[in-house]
Amino acid sequence: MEICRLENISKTYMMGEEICPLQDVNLTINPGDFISVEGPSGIGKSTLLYVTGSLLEADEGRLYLDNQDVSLLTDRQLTALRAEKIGFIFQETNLIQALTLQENLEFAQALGKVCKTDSQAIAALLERLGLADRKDFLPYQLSGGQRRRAMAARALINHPSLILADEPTNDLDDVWANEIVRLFAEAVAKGGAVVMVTHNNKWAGGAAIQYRLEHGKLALLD
Amino acid sequence: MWYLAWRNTVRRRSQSMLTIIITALTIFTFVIVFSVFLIVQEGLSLSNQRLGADVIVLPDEARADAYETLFTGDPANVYMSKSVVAGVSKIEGVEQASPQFFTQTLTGGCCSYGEEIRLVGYDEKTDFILKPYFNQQAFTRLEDDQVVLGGKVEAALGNIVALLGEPFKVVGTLYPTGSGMDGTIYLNIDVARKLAKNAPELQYLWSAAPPEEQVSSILIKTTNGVNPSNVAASINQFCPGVQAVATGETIKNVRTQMGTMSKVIFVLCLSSLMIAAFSLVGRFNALARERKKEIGLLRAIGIQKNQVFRLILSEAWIMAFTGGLVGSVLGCSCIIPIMKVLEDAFTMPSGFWTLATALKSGGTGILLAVLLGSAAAIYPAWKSAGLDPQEAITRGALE
Repeated sequence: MEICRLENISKTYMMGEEICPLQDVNLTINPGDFISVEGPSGIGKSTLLYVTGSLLEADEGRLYLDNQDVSLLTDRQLTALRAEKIGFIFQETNLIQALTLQENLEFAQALGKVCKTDSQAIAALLERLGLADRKDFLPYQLSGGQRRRAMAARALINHPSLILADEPTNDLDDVWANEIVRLFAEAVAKGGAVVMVTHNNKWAGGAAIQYRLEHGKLALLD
Repeated sequence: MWYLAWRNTVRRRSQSMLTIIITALTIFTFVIVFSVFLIVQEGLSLSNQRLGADVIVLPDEARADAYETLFTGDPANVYMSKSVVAGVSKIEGVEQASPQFFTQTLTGGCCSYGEEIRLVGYDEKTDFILKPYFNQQAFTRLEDDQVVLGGKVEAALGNIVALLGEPFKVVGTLYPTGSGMDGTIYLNIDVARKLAKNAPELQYLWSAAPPEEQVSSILIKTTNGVNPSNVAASINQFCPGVQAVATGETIKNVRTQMGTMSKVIFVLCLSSLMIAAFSLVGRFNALARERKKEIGLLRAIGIQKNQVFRLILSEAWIMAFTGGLVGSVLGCSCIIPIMKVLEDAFTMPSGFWTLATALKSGGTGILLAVLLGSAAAIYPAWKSAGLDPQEAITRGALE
């Protein structure tokens, strides 16, 4: 059963001139898919992720999440669906500034389908990402790389069906970038799906399905 | 969500402090104005209920100020012939007429009060003002060496006071009335006359007639169903050299004056509330703008619009409540010295600053602060809740 489907999605921005980052894009994401989307900077990869995650409405086409046409859902239903099914890693580091790392993860857990905190799962994930000794730190006390890993931890903590990762290996050295990709692979192995946007071929190679976005079109790479 | 609101408030310490200070100052002003208003209103009500006399007769206006006589305990050495009592008693509508004789303590006397206090000699045979108080206490009449203190007079040496060089035993304290009675010491009329006659400092008062032949005021109880204002008018018409004032009318006039003054003060208070409201709107707007990216994140990871709305409002409540609490506590703690200054500067009836009044003022202050905070935060909260998550994340990161 598919997790997400984009049908003939188009998105246009007016920024002095008309920019069409997505033109008639079709993409089906099934459980166990590890998808990477490459492409040069500013080509629309993040736009693709925002549309896939239902954070940005397409001008044309349909988006199905969990087999539901999102255009038919209310904002409340869509927000609940996002909380339960999707884990986001944004390009800009984005954590709740008033909460410690541990609390950020607990907050995310409380929003998920389990709706209760599992301290052991948090501890294990933080240990895995080399953040165990930083769990009581506020986001501003973390380095750029640590914040990036913290965002990955937040996206993974609820074991969502779909992880949308926008340049998740930015700011990371090879060791931690590899660990993130390995965690994605494990999530995929457990039946989840990952869409990872990157401009770095090195990490795109870790995905089983590779696309390239150029001129608004999504092309499957061999 | 409350925890997140609390943490957000604590994390932005300097901004939260500024918001709390604005609220606290506004509520501080409000609590002071409101408390003074309550105390004065209570004073007026008490005066109405407990003055006891429907009409008060004093020497004519050239010699006595009825307003001051009623509402202050300042010495009022005003006298008229005691024959006026008989004349007044004959006026239609007068049921009871009881004379009083005023004299005063002196400053600087040994074991005495450090200030001049009005001494009132009451006539035990005709009195209807003090009797109800006496009946509630353990005595029925005052002996010659006994006095009763007004509600705001304190005994200088335990239960003994020295008045014009004579020691007296304090046998009771009257309930507060909000009137001049509160700052007065009561004793028997003959004892008061004797004290006044023997005080060398007061001899200049008796050149026309000895104190035994004089009274200072006559308190009148009117017959049921008779309008006290009509009785006062008749006395003024038929008894020359005196002025009769219906106490209800006087209190009504004071109430009107106080009402006008209160309106002006409340307009000023309202203006300060409006200024605070606008500055709080500005603060919460800025706060919401700064946090666009974070709010976008919250919406993206599954926080509902109404939860964002509640989050912003909760933060406003936390700051407003804290500001309200601080302002109320500070305001309440300043009331006693402020009332003292006001009472010294103005002649006005005043009630008592009690725990109940403090709770009423402080509680209203806190409630007002929360309402003010809510009103100021509603628009920013609504705007934040309606943010498009993607736009908030991308633009919020840039702004």
